[in-house]
Amino acid sequence: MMVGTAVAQPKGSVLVKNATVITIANGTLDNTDVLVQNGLITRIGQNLNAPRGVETIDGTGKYLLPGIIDAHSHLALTSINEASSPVTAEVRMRDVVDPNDIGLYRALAGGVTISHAMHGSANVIGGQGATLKHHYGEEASGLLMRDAPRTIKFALGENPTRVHGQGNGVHPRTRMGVEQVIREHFDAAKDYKHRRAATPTRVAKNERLEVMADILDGKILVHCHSYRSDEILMLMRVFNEYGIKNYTFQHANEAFKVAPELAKNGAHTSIFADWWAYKFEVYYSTSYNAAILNHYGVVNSINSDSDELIRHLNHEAAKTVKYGGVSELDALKMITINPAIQLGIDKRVGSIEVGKEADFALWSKHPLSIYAIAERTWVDGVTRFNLATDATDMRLNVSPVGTFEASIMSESGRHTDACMNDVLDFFTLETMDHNHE
Amino acid sequence: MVKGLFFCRLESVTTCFNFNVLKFIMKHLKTGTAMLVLFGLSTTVQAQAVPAQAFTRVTVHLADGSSIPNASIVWRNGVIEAVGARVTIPFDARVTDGGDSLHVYPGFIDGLATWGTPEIPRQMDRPERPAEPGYERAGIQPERAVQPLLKADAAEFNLARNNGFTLAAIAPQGFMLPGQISIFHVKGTETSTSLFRSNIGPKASLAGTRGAYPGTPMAVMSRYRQLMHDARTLQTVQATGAANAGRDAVLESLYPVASKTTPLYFIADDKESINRVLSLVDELGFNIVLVSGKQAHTLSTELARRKIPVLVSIDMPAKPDTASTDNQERLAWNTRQQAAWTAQVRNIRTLLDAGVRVGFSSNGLKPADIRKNLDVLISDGGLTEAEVIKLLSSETASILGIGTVAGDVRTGRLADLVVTTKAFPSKGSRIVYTVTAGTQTEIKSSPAGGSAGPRGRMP
Repeated sequence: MMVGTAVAQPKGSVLVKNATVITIANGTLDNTDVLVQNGLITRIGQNLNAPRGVETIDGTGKYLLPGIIDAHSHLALTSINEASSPVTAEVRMRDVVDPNDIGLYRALAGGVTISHAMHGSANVIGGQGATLKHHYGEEASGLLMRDAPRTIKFALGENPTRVHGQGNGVHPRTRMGVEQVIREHFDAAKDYKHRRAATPTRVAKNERLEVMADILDGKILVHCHSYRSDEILMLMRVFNEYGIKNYTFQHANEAFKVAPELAKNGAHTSIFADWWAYKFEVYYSTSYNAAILNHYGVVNSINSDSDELIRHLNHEAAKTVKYGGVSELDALKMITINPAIQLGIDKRVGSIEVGKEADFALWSKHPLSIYAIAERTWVDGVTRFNLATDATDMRLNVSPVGTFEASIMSESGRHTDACMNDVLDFFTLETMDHNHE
Repeated sequence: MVKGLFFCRLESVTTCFNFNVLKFIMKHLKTGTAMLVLFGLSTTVQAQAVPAQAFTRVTVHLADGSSIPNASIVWRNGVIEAVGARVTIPFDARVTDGGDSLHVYPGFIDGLATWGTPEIPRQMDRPERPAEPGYERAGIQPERAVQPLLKADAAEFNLARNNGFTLAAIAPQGFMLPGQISIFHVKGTETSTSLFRSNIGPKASLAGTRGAYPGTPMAVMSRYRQLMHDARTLQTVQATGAANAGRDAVLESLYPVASKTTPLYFIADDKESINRVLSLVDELGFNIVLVSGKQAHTLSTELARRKIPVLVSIDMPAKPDTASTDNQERLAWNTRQQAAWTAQVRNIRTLLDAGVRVGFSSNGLKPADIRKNLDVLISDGGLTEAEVIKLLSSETASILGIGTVAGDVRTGRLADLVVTTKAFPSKGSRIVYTVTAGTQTEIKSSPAGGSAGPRGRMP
């Protein structure tokens, strides 16, 4: 926890008048006003008046959409993969949040107000995720969504077997080995809990096994990188055996093959709209994945896994309408309330309802239109993006060294496999100027 | 410039070798004169066995910024005996006459140097088990002493002395916990054997090792957590007297950290890294001295509130170019880069204004580059000359826990002095002597101040 440097999450007030409000929860309301007071939506209706000192925004002809939520992101992190060990449950992405990442601002410009900052997929059990509210301009601690449920990254398939089995000569070398690593660590966590309960002064607190035990106790939501249907079925079997519920398969390109099984287990999916063929296990894919999962009642979200794609998740959601005929409402749910459910924050965000946190964006047209532009984005009622008035350069932290060109080059864009960032770096044994950094 | 008689006991002849006494004795041995002198001294001057040394007719600058014109300083046995305008020079003193033009300052202290220590290997080995590489490969060596690692012939020590440094806290180079810090008298090639204080605390950083756990700052943070849990548990078990408690030198070296009797000297520069360190402080309950802290100004209020001192780096970047451009985004960026440079150069000013205790650490900056950057602190950094001296002397001494014995030109303090031709570090001033624990060295070629622009490692 960033106790010492924690700052209160900012809250604002605003009245948006006469917009087309896509509530997600209660239909789309024409010519409607939304009043926000101290970060919360307090009234939705018509002819509302702004209390003294509260700014009024004219939403005539525009669309108010809940803030888009990206359930799979590596934005605003200074490191992504601790690729030295197949299990690194103890590491916390909240420790390495980079609040200065200009990508946060660009995401806001795409109406995205929350992202799930995840560990990469190098390890079978990676680090704990951080649910970030895009309070661009605040310190790292100000970005961490207060009281958001804890999450953790798991990863199946080629990535962990390639990094550890082939790269380091340790198990897992195969998909079977991946399963065993998971089982071994759950069993170790059970054993650890018993030993520590019996002799707490003799058994030191174990950062890694505490987290594993918390997963078993249902205190942490698992988000598992996966592609193939067989490994998806495998993990559901393992989780059923250990009594683990409320988990989400990330990527899940072959989830459509096992959609009924996913629905039966209450498992969620968070997928790309149409991104595949960047490695062998990702060839058997279809842009109808979302439609099929939706048809079977699986809570599915569309994610970015990319600092570039996160800027236009509305387009990605629109693809599900094109491929498979998903309804516009369901398509929008896949970037709002569904990812909120997967992150355990759906009671607070993901729709425009009285009592919910005021994360939303005002769009120039219907957000599923290719011509729609997010004109202004609020997080907890605070304007974090304003197309009309923001400065030319919104970078927060300009380095006193280096060139303009180099600074642009270093800003990340769409990678073929963002989940594997830092891994090559790990395999480099050359040292840098560590001592003097 | 040297005057006065040299007397010493026969047993101490070797210590007086530099004063040509031996030459004097040998010359007069046949005449019997020297025999008389030696015999007489051995019975009458025993209480002051080692001769005094002195500077006369100098301007003495104290660490608090005050100065004493036309003053003298007397030291003996490495300790200052008298300072002031009306000081009686002992009859046995070797005197250097300042001729009313030399300036004497407290010797400079480096709060954390890497001088004389082995570089990190350029290529690390691939460990058999990257996930559990063992303490050493993981960069976890808080028990490691720096003394056996120091290179006796390190040219940096001569350079450091030529640049006015008389004490240096030195620690091994490495990753998250590379070893203990010890303080040495900067005495050229004798530095490695001139230990002043040993093992004052572990050096720490968020730097991961290569090719093994922990390799990233997030894993390093987790490793700190685990180390503190393990240390506290082992200490508890050992305290019970259990026969099977076991021993662990790494964990045991962290007991004083866990009990807050010794701080971690934690290297961190950017705001986010410093915040990460502060979050560890809150979670794990240890004390720190922040080292380097190039962007510490961004958290000056917080550091002041927590009473965390900073041994600050003055490794500053060159002033950025302001090339004209029609690109509005670039123009805005240029302006902001200038502002970022100014903020970094004014780092110490901001910290001092917030009430943070600030000392100095080179932390990799070459001794030869220090002087030029000191000039920038005055020209662009908003510091006065007196503040620079205080930074380099009493404040660093105080933060290192040696403030009562070093870091000022006062009676009873270590005889660590810097003598310059003009008020330091103003333009054109040159160091002509350093005195390290009483040993006076004439500096033939020290850099003069006043050259343009800071010097540092380029990014």
